[in-house]
Amino acid sequence: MFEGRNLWMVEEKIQKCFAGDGITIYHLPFQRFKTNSITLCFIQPLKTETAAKMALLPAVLRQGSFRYPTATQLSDALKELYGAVLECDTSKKGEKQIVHFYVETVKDALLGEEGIFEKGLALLIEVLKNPRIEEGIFSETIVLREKALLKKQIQAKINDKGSYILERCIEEMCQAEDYSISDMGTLEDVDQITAQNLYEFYTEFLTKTPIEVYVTGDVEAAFLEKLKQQIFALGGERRKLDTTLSFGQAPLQTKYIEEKMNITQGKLCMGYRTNVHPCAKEYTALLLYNSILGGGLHSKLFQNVREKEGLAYYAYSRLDRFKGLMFISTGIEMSNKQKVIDIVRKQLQEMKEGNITEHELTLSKQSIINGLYSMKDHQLSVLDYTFSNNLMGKQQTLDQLAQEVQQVDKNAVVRIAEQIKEDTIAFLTGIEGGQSGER
Amino acid sequence: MKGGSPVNVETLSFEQLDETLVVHTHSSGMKTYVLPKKGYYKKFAAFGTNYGAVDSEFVPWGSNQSIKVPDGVAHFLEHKLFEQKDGNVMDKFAALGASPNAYTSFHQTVYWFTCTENFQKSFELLLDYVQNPYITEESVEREKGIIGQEINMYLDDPNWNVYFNLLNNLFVQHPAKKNIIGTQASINGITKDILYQCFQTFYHPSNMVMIVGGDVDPDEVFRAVEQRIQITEKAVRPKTIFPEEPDMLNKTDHRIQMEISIPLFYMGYKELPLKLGDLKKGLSPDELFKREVAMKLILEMVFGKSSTIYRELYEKGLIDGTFGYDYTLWKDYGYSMIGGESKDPNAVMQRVLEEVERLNVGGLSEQAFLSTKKMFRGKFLRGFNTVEKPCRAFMSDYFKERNVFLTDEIVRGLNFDFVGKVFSEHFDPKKLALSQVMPLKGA
Repeated sequence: MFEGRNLWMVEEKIQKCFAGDGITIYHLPFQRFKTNSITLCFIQPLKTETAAKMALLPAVLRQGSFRYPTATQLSDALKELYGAVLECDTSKKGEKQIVHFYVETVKDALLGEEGIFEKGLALLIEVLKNPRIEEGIFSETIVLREKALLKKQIQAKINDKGSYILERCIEEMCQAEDYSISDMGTLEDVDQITAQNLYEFYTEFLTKTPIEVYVTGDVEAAFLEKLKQQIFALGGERRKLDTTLSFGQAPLQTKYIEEKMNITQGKLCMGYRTNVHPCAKEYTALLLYNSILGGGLHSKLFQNVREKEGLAYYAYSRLDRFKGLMFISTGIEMSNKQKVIDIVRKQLQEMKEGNITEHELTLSKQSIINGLYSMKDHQLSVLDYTFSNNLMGKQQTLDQLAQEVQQVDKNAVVRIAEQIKEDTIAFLTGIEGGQSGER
Repeated sequence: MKGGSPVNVETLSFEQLDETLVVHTHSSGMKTYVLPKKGYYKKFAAFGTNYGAVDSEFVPWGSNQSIKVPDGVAHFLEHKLFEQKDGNVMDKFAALGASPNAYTSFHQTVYWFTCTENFQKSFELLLDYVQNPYITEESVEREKGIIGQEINMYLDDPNWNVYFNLLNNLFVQHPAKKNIIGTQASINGITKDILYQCFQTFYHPSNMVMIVGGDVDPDEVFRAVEQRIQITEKAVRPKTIFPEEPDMLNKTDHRIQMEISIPLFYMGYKELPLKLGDLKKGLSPDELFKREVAMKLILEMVFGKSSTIYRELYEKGLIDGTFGYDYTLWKDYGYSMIGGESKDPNAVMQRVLEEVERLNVGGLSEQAFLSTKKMFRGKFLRGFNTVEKPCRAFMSDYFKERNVFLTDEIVRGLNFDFVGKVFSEHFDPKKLALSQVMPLKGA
């Protein structure tokens, strides 16, 4: 199985340079890439009271700082650093909301320059620590403008029908859980934000939030030391990162929701509770289960819904390992809804009954392992993998996971199948007599 | 090493990039490029043919009578090649631990895979299946259902609609606007015979190229090519028949309604490069390369985040993070696209027209030009972080008789006067069209 993979390559070990006082700094010492990067992840619980502020804050900070008071000036500064990338954004993982600040520059040596990466770091800290202030708080004009844009983004959720119905499925399924909270907040939440209360939130955020820092590329120890000092100079007393996860239970009867829009293709989303904790022994078997069921061209969903029956162009399953959930998504002819649901249920039943061939098992293992090794070629993928693990208190390298995947046997997968519970079905269908995309 | 090294091999060095390309030429004329990326886990290989949606009228192989094929044939054929007599090729790749896929665009069809092990076997499989179609009436009928769903998926995509509507506005008859996947009606007219005809005409190694990236041995790659390419003679690619395209636009404006939250728009300027050049006979591949790079720089200068107009429109709430721009140029057609979401696309367009006029009179900023050159340098280098990205970029532009690895050199060689000239040639208000997707009334 590991034949042909370059075993002579020394595994690039991720180094934990520092840990303490709510700050952890990691170095991913990759040699072969053209760029270096720094990511600062601020981690808070996903809560209705803070979601919208966590989304608006990075957007406001990105609009300018003390030294570069407009977005135009920031853009000019980045262009001068040979098109350096600067990102400030929010996202969620499970029931955590993250605000990340990211800078990436092409390596000095490749540019034939000196100090570009250092200047990139300075810019990142500048944007984070020295915001543009008017009368002691954020600029009202900028906050108002970014509020309007955030509301537009929330309203735009209906534009991608597949994502929209997945989100509706989650909202329905996890009504009583924080997981259903959007990392953009609601329109009403955004309306409540003012330049004043956002600035107050910012000062708390900057000094109390646990931070994970990731540096990628070949950097000197002196640089890492400088970075560490800059992060500590942010001051404050930070909370410790809480890595507990919470899981919910499937209802006795599957929930069903339907929404209507002016569309041509129906979108089906089926949500399941797997009841598997990512740190548990069975977790690796769950990865196999998901792959066999709907993880690619080799999967039961692809083969049965698309290839055999020609009912869909795509049909796949995805896990959210932070919450132990699984979602099956497919785009189909509206009239085929029940037919497809039946086929999907049949595949799950097949797996429960142990109708998994050695071939399916092998293909799935290869597919997962191929994916894991491919991730190693992308600094940010390795970073994201490590970060996700840290958020759940898990220690496992990509290589270790690949080895575990290789060891999983069919019985372990069948045991997983037995504990998967159908929770909610969401269907986006058309309005009768309605038409879409008319030319 | 088994046997000797294959002949007809050349090494191209790109020192500034710290990369090389090793190139092999097959007796049929087909070239194979290898981008060695030591230390990377992933390997990538793409096999492409110079045949896409624009090639809808041509003289097929073995005939002297031209034919017209239904919209969506190139894409349909791409789907069909995966089916072999002994099963689906995707299963065979999966058994080797590789991930295959393919895409069809206006000018090419490309079959590729990535893997982290068993590269040589997967590579041989790629060479074999793309050369050996196996198409039955039954499989054609079944595919109509699958592609039918793909079509429906795109019909619900406002971005897809706004783009193709713009192309329809810009071009009267040119197949630059052809629907790549077709419609249910057009694909219903596809038969096994049409598919075989297109295959025989365009899937000739003389008309194809291979690119491989990753920690691979170029000699092994070239040996497999020598052994497995079935046709060894050169052939001349039949010319695609393009109708005479008039200067004027087809339409200046078109709008549709869909269930979206805020209007989506693209505005674009039409170009007919055959009318350019000293003799008004078109441009050479190198000249097209230079022009394309210059236009991309211009778009960044005029519409990028550092620009006057970006700042104005953003502060007025007329554009947001979705605002973007691009430029497409082939031998006989070109167009720019500028757009995104906006509550008032017409206001944006007005402002753009004013800004273009202002720049025409006052000239572009040399400071912005130099700064944008720097930015492009960094962007280009960053693209080589992965194995896939440079290979895909290479493939996309190969049939323009171009090596995109030379982009950095072109950027550095651009002078400000040339860029000013291209700017004034492109932004002709008579060549501007607008495409909009509006939210449903009362939504």
